[in-house]
Amino acid sequence: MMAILFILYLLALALIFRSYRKAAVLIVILNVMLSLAMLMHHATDILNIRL
Amino acid sequence: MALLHKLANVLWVYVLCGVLCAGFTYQLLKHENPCPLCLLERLGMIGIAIGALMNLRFGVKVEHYGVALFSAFGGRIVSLRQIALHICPQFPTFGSPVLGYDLYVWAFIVFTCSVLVTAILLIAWGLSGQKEIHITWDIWGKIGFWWLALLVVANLITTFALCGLSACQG
Repeated sequence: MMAILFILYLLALALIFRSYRKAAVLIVILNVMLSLAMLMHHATDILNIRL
Repeated sequence: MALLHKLANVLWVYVLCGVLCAGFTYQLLKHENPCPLCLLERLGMIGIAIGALMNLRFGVKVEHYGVALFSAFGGRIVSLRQIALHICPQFPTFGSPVLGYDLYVWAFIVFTCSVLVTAILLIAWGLSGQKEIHITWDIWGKIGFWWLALLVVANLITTFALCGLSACQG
């Protein structure tokens, strides 16, 4: 899953290269939200709880 | 005003790439594999650098600074969480400290400085009264773009080697 986040950023860079500005903005926003979801997963995993 | 924004954004991308490069070199030389939170902090820095790169590629726009701020917000939450995990006295820290601070404290400082830079540039833009700022996509922006792309690929390869497609337990 963590590797997929890097792939998404690579996709965002490719979109910037190809001048798809709005799509790149959306990908970065999606990626930050996925990162925060990963943080939640990590936090609940340490405490051994499930939300 | 265009020159100020261009210089600031180029410098911003280079500093973030330098920090990412230092973290990556540290990982390779000291054989200290990054924890899941460290990887999320790297992702936050890449997000900020992409926001600054979009300013260089497409001209200065509010949504590009928004992208940088949003990534800095996410990164700050992650680094604060990691600082909180190790804040108790005698509690073991993660990795070796650099210049007296642990890497996640440095990450928090980087994210905080990024928020400050965004605020200063937005205020300067507002005070200038200009509606649009055009920046030419020259060699400095291209170097930053390819440097960042190389770092993303390198991090992708090492992360995939360490964790595969899992959520990187650590």
